[in-house]
Amino acid sequence: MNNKKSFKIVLLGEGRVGKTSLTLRFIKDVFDDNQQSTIQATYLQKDIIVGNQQVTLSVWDTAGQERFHALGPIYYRNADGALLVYDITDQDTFDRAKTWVMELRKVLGDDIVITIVGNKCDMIKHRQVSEEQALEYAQSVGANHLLVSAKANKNVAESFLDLTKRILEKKANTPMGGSPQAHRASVRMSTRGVSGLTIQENPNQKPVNNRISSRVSGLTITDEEPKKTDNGTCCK
Amino acid sequence: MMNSDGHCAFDEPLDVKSKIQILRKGEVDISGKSSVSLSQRETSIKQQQPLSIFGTSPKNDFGNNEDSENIPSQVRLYLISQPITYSGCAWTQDEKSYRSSNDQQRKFSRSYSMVFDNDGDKDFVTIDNVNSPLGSKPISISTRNHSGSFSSSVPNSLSGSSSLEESFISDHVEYSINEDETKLFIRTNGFEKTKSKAPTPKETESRINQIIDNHNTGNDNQLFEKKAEPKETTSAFNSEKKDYKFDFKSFLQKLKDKSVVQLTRDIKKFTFEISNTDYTPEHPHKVQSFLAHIMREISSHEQWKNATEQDLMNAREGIEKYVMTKIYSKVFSPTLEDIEIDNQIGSRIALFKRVVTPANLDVSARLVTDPLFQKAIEELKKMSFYKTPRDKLICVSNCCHLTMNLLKRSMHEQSGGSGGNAPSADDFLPLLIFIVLRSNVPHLHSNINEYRNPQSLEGHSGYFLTSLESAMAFWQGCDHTMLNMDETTFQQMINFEDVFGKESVQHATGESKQQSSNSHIAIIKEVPKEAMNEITEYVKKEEKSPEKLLLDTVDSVKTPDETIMSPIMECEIQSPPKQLEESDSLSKSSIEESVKNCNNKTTTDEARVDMVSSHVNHDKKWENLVSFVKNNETIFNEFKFENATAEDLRLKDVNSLLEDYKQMVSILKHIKNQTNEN
Repeated sequence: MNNKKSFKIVLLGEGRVGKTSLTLRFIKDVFDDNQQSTIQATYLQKDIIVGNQQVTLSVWDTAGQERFHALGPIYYRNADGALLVYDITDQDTFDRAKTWVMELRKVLGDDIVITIVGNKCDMIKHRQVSEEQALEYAQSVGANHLLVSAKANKNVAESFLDLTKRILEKKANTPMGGSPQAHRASVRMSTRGVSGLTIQENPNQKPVNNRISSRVSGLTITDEEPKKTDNGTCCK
Repeated sequence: MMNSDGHCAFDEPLDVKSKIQILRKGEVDISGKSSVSLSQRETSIKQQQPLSIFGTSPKNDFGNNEDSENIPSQVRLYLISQPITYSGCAWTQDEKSYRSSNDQQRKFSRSYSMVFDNDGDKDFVTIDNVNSPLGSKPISISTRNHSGSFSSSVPNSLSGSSSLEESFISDHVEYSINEDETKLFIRTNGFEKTKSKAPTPKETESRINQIIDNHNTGNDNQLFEKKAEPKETTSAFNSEKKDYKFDFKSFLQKLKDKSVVQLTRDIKKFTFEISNTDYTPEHPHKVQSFLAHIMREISSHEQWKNATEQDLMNAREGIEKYVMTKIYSKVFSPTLEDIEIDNQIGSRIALFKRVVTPANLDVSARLVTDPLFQKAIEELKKMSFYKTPRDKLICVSNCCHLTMNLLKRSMHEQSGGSGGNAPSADDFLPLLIFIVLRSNVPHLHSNINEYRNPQSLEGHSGYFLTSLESAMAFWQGCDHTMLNMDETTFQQMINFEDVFGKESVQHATGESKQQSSNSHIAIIKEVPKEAMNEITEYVKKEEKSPEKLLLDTVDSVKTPDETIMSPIMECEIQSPPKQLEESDSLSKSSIEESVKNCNNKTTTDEARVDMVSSHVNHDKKWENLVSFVKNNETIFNEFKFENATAEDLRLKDVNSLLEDYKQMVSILKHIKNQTNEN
């Protein structure tokens, strides 16, 4: 069971909430300063160890601008976890985060593990979103909530760790065969096939067709069953 | 020794600049070196005396040489930015970016290499100085010694200004002769802002050694192999870069082994099956599970018993490449639906290409003018030239890496070198979307929609592909709110699309003229009302669409006279007069109007007065016309749409285009009248 696992995490959040600095903070804690030249915040891969389990996290940044909202499903398909970032000094960003949560739950059901983080918690003075409010909301959607600060380096790594742990727990509770690789192998890489990534883990819950994505014409999300490959080697 | 024997004679300094103005062609004469005897050459290769002269004038260097008087003749070459082939030689270009260890500044270097064939003929190099990173600055190339290996920088005489000198100081030219080909490498660090330390002679030497090695191992075509295998751009931040190099040949070699005969049989059977059955939605699954099956076979096979991880990866890539190449025609755009989507996206992007500016996507205009931006577009366009998913993906990755570098550089510049900023998806996606718009890769949907081995889709390339996919989805589904446009403009644009759509149908089916003129009216919705009325009236009178008329005119052009702008003259000779009585009055007024317009633009009035009066004086009419054309060079010499394609046009061009068009029509009619009267 100590196979190396690899999870995909999407970062969602409006442009100004500090996704980039959060990511950068996360990297900087890992890499040497010498390697700064390799930094880019759109995609990052990082090995972490949770318990005795080595996990490779792929963190996918998404464009936060409202106009790219409809492109979300393309990014978060196959994702194991989502880190939703809002700015505690800006109520709007929290509301945006809520719409994302709704969307994720619609498209991916309960199969995606969500952590909501309120960034800029060092700026309590200008706070607009109360912790209680955020916590309550997070619980109602089955997500965790953390207050972080990229600037003060507070809770940044913790939020990623928390997410990873919960993904691991989720996978552990899932019957075998639910390994993401096995699913992906059967998914045709296409705008049509946002399929299959969830089904085996929760056979009773079919992903709801994504209404939001219909704004992007031609991007239809089907819930076709993944072909049950007799491929026993899910993990190399 | 710069004697005639070993002298790789470039001709005396060529005035390439003047040639560029006319032909855009430079000329390099390498015939001289064909007199070098084989043995001499071999020795010279062994000697390997590549010397580099960085930042010093060749004169100094040659001064140390015993034959300093024999300073070789020089040719000026202008760098090009595109790999091109012309008459037996090819330029290829290779761009690298790197970060020097001791300073934070990113440096870019480009290598250009060219291969001549040594057939003793003159070789011609087509050279474009417009897109060159160095602009039109010349590089002089001269021979170093008879060994044929040399490097040179620009002599002082050429680097007149200090800025010029600085940009050239790190330029590096290598030149090597082999038995049957001559290579010329030009490397430029043209991008960097600071003066960089030139590579050591040792590096140069190793490089040349490499070239020679490559050559000697029979790898003659190394420059052309890129065609078969897209090159992965070395990028500064490719942290996940593995030391893995895909080697298709060795894979195929393994397949030839007798022990794997069963495998090859399977593969052949499968590809045959696929290519001889109609496409079904099951195909992707079939292919993927087949590939997985083969991989299992391979990993448990004798032949690969001691295989490393890399060998297996190689096999996986190899299998995929092999299978996909075989069944390409079946699985690329397999269904009508796919083709439909491709066309739909293609036309939509073509439509937006006309109107969407960087500002519409909040992309900084500065980024778009960067050479890297153009490079990224080129890279993306290459995507459709390759058949296998892997190759396509490399193109996408290259494009995205370039985009990323572009963003990083611009951020670095903006922040004044403080660093700490990194491009995020918020910056990256809009720019990528714009790149997709500008490149308008044909069959984008099908290109993305490939059977890609999902395992290799993790990591950067997976992210980039997803980004590309979302960029495509953006253009598929975007509306005015996404483009910072107001709704009416957007709607008008969509109407444009309808009109263009109709037109293309009409061209194909030859529908009635009436409809066609209607569509033209629709097109010019955007132009001022008076202009539109005029055109409408005109169209009614002529019973012919303006564009059609223009086409007729163009058709009638045969061999234009050397000195005079052709359509006008040709029309005079060839066009049969048509319906002149009807349009006469309009024509007159138009001419007067055009004359008025011209009045505003240029200084000489007489010619125009003459022209109008040439209604009376037939003998002088041609003369007058010529002088009219000459005197109004601003109008006639700037046919900026002469070679334009529909894609180049922007909405804002319509007005000026229409104005120019009207002027031309009025002149045309004027001439017709005169011919008629004759």
